[in-house]
Amino acid sequence: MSNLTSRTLDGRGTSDANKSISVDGVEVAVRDGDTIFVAAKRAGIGIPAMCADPRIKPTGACDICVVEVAGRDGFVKACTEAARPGLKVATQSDTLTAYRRSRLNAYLADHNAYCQPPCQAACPAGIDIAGYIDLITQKKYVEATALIKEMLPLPGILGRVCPRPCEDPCRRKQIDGEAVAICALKRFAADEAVKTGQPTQPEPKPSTGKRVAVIGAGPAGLSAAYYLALQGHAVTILEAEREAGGTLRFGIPSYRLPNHVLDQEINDILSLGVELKVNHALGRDYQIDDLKREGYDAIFLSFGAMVGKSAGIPGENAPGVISAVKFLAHVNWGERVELGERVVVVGGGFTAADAVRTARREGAREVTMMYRRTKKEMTAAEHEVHECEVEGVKFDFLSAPHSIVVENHKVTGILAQRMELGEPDESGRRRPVPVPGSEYFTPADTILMAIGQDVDSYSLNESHLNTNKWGHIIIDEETMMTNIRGVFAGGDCATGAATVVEGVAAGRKGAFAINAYLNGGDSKAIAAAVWSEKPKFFDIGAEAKSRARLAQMPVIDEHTRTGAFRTSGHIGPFDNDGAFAEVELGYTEDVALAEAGRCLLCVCQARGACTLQKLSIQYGAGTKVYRGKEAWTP
Amino acid sequence: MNEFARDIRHAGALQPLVSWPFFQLDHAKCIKCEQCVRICNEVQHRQVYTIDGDGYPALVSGTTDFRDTECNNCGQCVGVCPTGALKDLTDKGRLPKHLRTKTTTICGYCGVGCAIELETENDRVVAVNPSDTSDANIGNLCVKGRFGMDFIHHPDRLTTPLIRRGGKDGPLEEASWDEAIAFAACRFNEVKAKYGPHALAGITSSRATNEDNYVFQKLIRCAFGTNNIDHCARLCHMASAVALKNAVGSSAPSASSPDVRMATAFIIVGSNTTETHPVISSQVMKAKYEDGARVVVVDPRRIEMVNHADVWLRPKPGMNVAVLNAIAHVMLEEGLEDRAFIAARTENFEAFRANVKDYSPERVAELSGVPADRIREAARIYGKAERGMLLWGMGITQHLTGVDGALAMANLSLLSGHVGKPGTGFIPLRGQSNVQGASDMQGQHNALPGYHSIKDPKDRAKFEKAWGVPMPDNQFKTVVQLEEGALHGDIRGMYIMGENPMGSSPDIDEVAHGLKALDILVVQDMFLSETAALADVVFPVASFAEKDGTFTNTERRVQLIRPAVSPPGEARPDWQVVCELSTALGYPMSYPSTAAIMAEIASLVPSYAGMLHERLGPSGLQWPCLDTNHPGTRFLYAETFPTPSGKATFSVVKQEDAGEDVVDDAYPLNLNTGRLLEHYHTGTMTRRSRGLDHMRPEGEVEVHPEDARRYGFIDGDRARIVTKRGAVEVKVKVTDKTPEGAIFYPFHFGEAPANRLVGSKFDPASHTPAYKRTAARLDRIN
Ligand SMILES: Cc1cc2nc3c(=O)[nH]c(=O)nc-3n(C[C@H](O)[C@H](O)[C@H](O)COP(=O)(O)OP(=O)(O)OC[C@H]3O[C@@H](n4cnc5c(N)ncnc54)[C@H](O)[C@@H]3O)c2cc1C
Ligand code: SF4
Ligand code: SF4
Ligand code: SF4
Repeated sequence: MSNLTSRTLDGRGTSDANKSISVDGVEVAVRDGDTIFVAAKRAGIGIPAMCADPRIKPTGACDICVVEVAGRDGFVKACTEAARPGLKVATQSDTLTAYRRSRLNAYLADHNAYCQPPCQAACPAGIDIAGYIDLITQKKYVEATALIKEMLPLPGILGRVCPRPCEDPCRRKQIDGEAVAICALKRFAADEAVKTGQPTQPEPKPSTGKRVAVIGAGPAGLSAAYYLALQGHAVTILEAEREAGGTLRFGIPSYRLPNHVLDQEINDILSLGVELKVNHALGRDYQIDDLKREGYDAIFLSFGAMVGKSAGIPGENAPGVISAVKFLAHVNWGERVELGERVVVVGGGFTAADAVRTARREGAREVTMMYRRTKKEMTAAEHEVHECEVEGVKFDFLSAPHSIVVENHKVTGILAQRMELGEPDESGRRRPVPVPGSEYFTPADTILMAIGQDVDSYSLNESHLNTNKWGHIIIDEETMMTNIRGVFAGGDCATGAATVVEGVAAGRKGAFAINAYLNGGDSKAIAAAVWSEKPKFFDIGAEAKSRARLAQMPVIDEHTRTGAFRTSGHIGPFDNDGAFAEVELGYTEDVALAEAGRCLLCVCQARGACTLQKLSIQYGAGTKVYRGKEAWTP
Repeated sequence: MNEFARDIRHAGALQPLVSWPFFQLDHAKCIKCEQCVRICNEVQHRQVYTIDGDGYPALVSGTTDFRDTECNNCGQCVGVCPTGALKDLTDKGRLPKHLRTKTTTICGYCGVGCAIELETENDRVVAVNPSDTSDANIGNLCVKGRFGMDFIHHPDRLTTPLIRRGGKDGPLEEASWDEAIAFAACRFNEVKAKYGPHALAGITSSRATNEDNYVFQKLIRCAFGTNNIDHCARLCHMASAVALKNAVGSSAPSASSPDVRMATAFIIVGSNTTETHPVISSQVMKAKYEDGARVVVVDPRRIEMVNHADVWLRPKPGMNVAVLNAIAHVMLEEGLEDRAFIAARTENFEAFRANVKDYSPERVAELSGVPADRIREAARIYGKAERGMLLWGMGITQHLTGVDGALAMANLSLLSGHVGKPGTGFIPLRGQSNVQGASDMQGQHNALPGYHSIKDPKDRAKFEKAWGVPMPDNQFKTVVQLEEGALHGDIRGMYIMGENPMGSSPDIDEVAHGLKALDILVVQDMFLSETAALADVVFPVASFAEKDGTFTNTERRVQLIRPAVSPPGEARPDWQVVCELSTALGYPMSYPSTAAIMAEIASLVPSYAGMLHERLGPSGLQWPCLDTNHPGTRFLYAETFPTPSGKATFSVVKQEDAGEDVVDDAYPLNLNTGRLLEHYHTGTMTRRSRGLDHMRPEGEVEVHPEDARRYGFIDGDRARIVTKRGAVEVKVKVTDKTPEGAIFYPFHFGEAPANRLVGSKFDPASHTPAYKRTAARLDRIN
């Protein structure tokens, strides 16, 4: 073999060190036959183009690879122009950018398509919505549920209680005004999957021998435990209350979230080998240092924001004034609360909505929700507000508590003040301002305060743990880690009262952060494990025009429902279970399939690799106007 | 139905163009850039696309189904589309493209060695992109590489070792690696103790890496202690290897892809290049359509390349030598030979000249049926060309006169002086991803790695020193002889790595008897192939996408493959299994990595001396690569030939037609066997690709319209092909692709295997079987 001679020259296209052109001030060597485009590319200078493929003869048709050449008027197409030595080429300038943008816009005018689904981007957990809806259309409910569980281990729960931020930007609205019922479809898939009895979660990886303690068994803690267990870590959840579930169990009433759904999904998580220790409160029964001493390699704090805020108004501490969360907890644990005939609930969020409806079920005849702003600003979901109305709740909008009126150590009513809406505040909602001299009295036997919850970090007795002025635990957003090494936190305790889906997303992030930490990753590696892409939109219909009309779910009719409510005349053993039966009924298969068929599956396979997308983002091209049908009907 | 195309569909707008199940074109996203149309026309040269009145791509057929056109699903248009308008329907990914994990590696199918990029999610390959990093394919791919990778995750993949605890009649049962290795080792050692080392044999694979092949042959020689080893190149290109070794001193192809792109004239013989080596074929077309190269095709079938040929010679089957000699005759007659080259670089010219004198075009026209003026034209095209290139395939080698055919090709190259210069040379097109490498690791005539002679005391001493055991000295046996040995009891134990002789060897019923008669058969495969099903021990192994190592492609280009996903279950890379078995057999082998194996190869094989893994860049390195500073070698023989005298030798070859199966009244048709574009080898991989199998779910026998009329068949009928050796039932396809009097049947289909039909006759010098010509008849099935 050794007498074979070697040759590597290809006999043509030889380069000559003396020949070069200047591209954006850089000297670039040229070979015979080079165009400006080819020579620049070889030197690592990319000139934007839609149609430059080295295998195809260039024509300059896309008109985007235009450049400016010194001494020449107008633009020159880099892909067809010979790279004559000595040329001075500029590939970027304001006029070039403007021209390229106009060319891209011309392309986009013909391009009626979506790069990415806005629903997925709006979902805090980033579920592959189009993916699972597509699986539903194929009747693959187990697979759909498994797909959801890649991002969120509680599909049946979220399918019932999620405030559905994903449905707001849904593009289907732009066709027929109504968003796809993403959330209800999730519930449908999860319920159907349970019926089959087939597994919807993967087997955990082989044991890593690492132990993680999770403090608090709410959505954040459960989700962290799930993803940690799948990674093969040994997880113990330490929960202060007597059962797992957190706010899902003792906040959200069972007519919205039946216990069997909660139990099913919690058991699925525990079946991965997660250990649950109830009646174990941090700060009461043990401290973080004890856990470290017991050999836990990492700790995740997810103890929520469970303490009702006080309004700081006179009379607030009188008997008959109760925090709404406390009230709901009592009812959820099956305890009896005497409310009397007339109840006023102060607040306009989830808690307030649950409190008024639960008060109705508990026998209060006249229940009023008192809210400082209008219906439009309520944070409780639209359909829930509707159910409140159905169940006979009265609303008193633009009204703020002034003081509690107490007689003989007993509440007799509330003095409130009229409000009007002023300038928008930082949350974008218009700030209510009091109307002077508008105080008025509303009689009540019980007043439930639902004006928000606080994080009770004080009772943890952890002076080393940094918290902010609201008592929220301070975490590094990128790594989920607190100031104590190996201690991570997420959910309401780190953000203040939020939503289940945000809690679940934080739990998953925490699990990935802890996994990276346990694998010896530094903060950069941890941040990389937690990082998720924020999609950039440029394409058609990316911006919601208005709030979606949310899809309707079939519900138990009004009469059956209120018929089961406790009435004041009714004394004796507490038994109005019927009143706590699940109100929303879920979809039948036919309805679900029809609904799933409405999804446009707004996801393009080429996104991320698409030249048009890349250049349009780069040059700020793109229309947000939906042309769909109009563009396609002759 | 997908995306908002559904909405558009509701609006009654354009239907997408669909090539089910590979890709589709949605007008909604199309920006009318015409890139798809142009790559199809300018690179693939097919009649598929046109542009409709609105400026959108449309199909020439006027329909929306690509199957109505010449489209062969290469997917080049999908790759070039700058938007998502052309959508890969086989893409199983969920993440946006730029967030998926990407691994650049080499396609495991054919010998072109295309660089590909595997996109993975959650340890699964979800899509394939072409990679423009390697000179071998510069961004092009064919349907198998782009859409045929789903076999990797096929549920049929073997995941645990299997053994027959209950003896030959017992079932194959799952076993641990330890048990299976010990079981195999113990049985091999029993055979060795009872019958001696030469009762053992190994067959290796041209689909396994160089590293796998190296350790395998080392096991056979050192742990078994025998020279009984061969690989399936025997069945395809050994005739070329033998011929080239005699003519120019090395069996290797002389030129490379870049040379193909530069050539100005081609003679392509017996190679259905567009189907078997699609990416090489597109480079031939590039040379032709962009730089005016002229193309001569010599083939009895109307293969696709015929549509691009300037001259098509259609000889009767088996007449290659006569035609090639006639071309030489004309070149000499018209003074087109390169006298300076002949004088300086060759030997034996006069004898050759005297021989081809007898092959006047007129005489050969009578023999072969090729008109004399066509032969003359072909000779002029090649003889007058500035840079001439010869490509050939199994149409040359799988004949009883296979070596002669290849020698006749070499003669043309020497006569014209079209060798040893850029853009010239010859390439016998290799079938499988690593045929060249498998040969390099063990050679033809069963040489030691790097074509070291097993007989030369110096070479033997070198390897005895390196491997620490005496080298065996028994006579080598070929694959087919080994299989016969099994039948006659000379071979008692066999170790087969990645090969399926039950599908690829001639006369498979005999092979089955032989394999069943073995005391111990160990098969190492990804799937339970027809052969593995007969084994006593089956080892599950990693696919090319699950391991690292190197492949040497048909242009001697050694390229790195890299793992993209982990192997299923307990499957392991071949080399690890071989090392463990060797250790259990009593010859310990262990390497920390494939790079370490390559380092050992480099220390023993001079042409690989510089091929360390860390040196293999995006285009790999072409051997010879003589030291760690050597840039590799694009084309061979620039100054000398690797023969004792440094000169190449003209050969005297005559058209002979003694032994081959001649048609008669009982068997009036010539049966030709070969490959299809969509499938590969015995189909163990491609038949498990949803898309590929969808396109060609069953084998069809091609019958010329005249013959169809004569024997009363219409398209779609079922027929039985009957030869003296066996029969298979197939569907009839009436086409003038095949010449009158001849039928063609592909060999990828295990349920109706072609090789049941063909005999065990061989080319005497190379032992490559004569697959291309068997007398047959077609029976009706009612
Ligand atoms: C009445 C009500 C209704 C709601 N309705 C909705 C709704 O419909 N949709 C929605 O998205 N969101 C709703 N929310 C908000 C949502 O429930 C919370 O944002 C979410 O539960 C927060 O999850 P988490 O895991 O952070 O905390 P939590 O769910 O609060 O769980 C914290 C857990 O930690 C335990 N714990 C507390 N202190 C300790 C300690 N010291 N040691 C050990 N364990 C401790 C608690 O017992 C509890 O189990 C509602 C909230 C309330 C109060
Ligand atoms: S990724 Fe490209 S093809 Fe897909 S919708 Fe966006 S711009 Fe169009
Ligand atoms: S149509 Fe489907 S994919 Fe598109 S935004 Fe709505 S739910 Fe998401
Ligand atoms: S390459 Fe893509 S965008 Fe361009 S014409 Fe073809 S289908 Fe349309």
